[in-house]
Amino acid sequence: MSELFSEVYNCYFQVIKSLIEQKRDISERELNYRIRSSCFEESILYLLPKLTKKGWGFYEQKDGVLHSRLSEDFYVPLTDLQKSYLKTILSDEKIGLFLDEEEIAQINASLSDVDPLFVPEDFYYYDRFADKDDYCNPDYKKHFRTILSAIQNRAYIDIIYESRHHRRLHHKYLPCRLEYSIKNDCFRLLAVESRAHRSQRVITLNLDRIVSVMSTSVTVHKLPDISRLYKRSCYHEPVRVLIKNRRNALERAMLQFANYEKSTRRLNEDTYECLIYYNKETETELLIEILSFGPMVKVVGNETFLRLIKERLIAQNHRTSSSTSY
Amino acid sequence: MSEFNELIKSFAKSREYVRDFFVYGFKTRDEFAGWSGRTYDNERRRLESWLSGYVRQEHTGKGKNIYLSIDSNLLDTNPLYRVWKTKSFTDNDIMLHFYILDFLLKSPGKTADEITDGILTKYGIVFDSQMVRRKCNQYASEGILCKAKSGREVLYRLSPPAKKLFSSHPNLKNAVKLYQLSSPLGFIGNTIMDTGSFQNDLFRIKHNFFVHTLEDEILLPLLQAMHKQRTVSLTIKSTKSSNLLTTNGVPLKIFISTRTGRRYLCLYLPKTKRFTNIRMDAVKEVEAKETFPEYESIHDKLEKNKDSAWGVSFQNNNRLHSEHVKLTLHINEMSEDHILNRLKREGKGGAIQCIAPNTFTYEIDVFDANEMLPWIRTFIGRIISIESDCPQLAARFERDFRTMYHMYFEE
Repeated sequence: MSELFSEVYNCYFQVIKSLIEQKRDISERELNYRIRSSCFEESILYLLPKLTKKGWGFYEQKDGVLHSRLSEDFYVPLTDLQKSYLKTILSDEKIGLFLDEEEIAQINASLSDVDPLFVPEDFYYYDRFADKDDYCNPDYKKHFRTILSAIQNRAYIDIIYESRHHRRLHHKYLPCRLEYSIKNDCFRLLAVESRAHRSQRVITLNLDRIVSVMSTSVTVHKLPDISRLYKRSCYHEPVRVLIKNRRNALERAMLQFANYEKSTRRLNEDTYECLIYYNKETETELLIEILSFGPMVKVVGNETFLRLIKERLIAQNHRTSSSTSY
Repeated sequence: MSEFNELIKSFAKSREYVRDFFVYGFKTRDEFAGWSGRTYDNERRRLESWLSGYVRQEHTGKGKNIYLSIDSNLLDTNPLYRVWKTKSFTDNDIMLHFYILDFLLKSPGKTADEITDGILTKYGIVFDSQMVRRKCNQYASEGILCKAKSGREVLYRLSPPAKKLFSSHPNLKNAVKLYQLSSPLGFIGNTIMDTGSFQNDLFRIKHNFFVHTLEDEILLPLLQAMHKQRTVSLTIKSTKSSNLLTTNGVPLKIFISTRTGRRYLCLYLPKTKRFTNIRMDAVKEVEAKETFPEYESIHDKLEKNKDSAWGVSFQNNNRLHSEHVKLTLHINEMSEDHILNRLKREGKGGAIQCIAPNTFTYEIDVFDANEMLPWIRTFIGRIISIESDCPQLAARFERDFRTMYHMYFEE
């Protein structure tokens, strides 16, 4: 079994492979651009001379153009480790969203010379939510595949959705990505509203609440950048928290908030300030995550978030004062 | 003085650095204890090179500190996978890689000597045939080449292209796009995207802790030991004292928290006949030992017991088999269905009962009630009472709540 940390997966090897696969001839300028865009920041200093001058000899230089000396159909086969990984994912229940049983059996047969790296039971997500999506439901599978194909075709979908309050809503959306939540073990559709709406915003729909979905013939040239739209949806003012480094709280908080865009600085010997960026959708989740730290994490801003924390504390104080059960 | 190289030979040292930069994101040069200033400078420069685009800088009174700012919800892949793609190599390694594969593409089934001659004829480059043989054998053991005996000769050929598999099953590509982000050892999925020349244009991930990939070098041998039902000897770095300790045990399962970002190895300790959980990021080395004859019965025992653990603890300080916890909560029946849903989906099967208008109880038996405290705090604002045969639970909640209240309203 090959190792994870191997030169075979090295970024330099990958960029050269991709250059050879895609183009027989390339200018030095384009080569420069390709290395800069797909390698590390300093790779250009080492890699460019090795490819253009008398280095590794993969290219011949003629009239200012580099001609590949390797075959047009050059390829790198999968390693056993990669094949084992493919075999591993075939035993996950979500694979049925992509492949039917016959296909799974065929792929398994073509990977018969390797063992899977793990089975799902090797992992136990001990605080995962219990109301996961039903990946075996035929309607769910159908909706998943329709959306997947619509994203790839950049096509609008016609969707009937049942809201949390059991109201049926009919909309046309442009699907951009499917979001998988590890905590909820469910998929959500990230889409934008139809072109009629002026200011685009990302709509999040739970896949298990979709009643029906149909692809339309209306397509777009390019999908919107939902990361940019998401960032635009974040509150201007992040949450500002102070973390007391007691009971290992700093390390716990830094790890737990690693999911968010954040920045941290040290204020004094045992106090740190952390700015956490969030939007309306993640507000409650962040609020209860912060509460879970108890007195180790104190919110000092923004005012709106601070008010939410204080409201809960006041309510609790009221209940504590009128109760004797602790 | 040796020249700076952005590639590295060993992953272990960089793993610690990347973790510290990523998780903490505030340490300045002086705060990286245990490393020389020069080592810090080189590691920082490498990190800035590997992860450019995600590295932010800040100037503080104590000097410049750099940190990684990554919002996992917004990315098509895990940027920390790049750290795995930094293994150093020699000129011969990379040249042999491309020339052997290219030569065998057009001339399959050749001996190492024939490959050496072929590379000289086709590309005009001389290699030692022993070196070519070593590389061919390495690639055969990794599965890149197939090796077959023909009489006294050993012949090498290329393994089939990934393209063939993906063109027969195009949806497999889409699956890889998801799993490279969501599954353990997702880095391997990411290398499959490199090999197959495709990118993730379909999926995003939520509640993923990208930093786990740094433990994959430890995770892989642990999974192998689990499947072979072996005991392991672990070198563990104490999170409190930084001392290195050795522990022997039987690896059974990986426990993952989807909320806190912690990942643990569940180990059975034959000496004390107990289960214990060890943080994966504290494990520095794994050595597989002999097979453990009772592996299956111990594994079954864990399966029966794991649901009674709220988190990763299998015992309590009160010498009880399990501790009973009863929460009484104020929940508005008309408008706060979502709170009841939270109890159902997060409460690990605890019993929920309406005992009075807008008043509900939630009851559960767990090995260690103290582990529930962070979760209980998320209901602050609606907790009427906490009752438990773990007396410390309610006391700690009350003490912490008083401190919080004082912190926000009286300081």
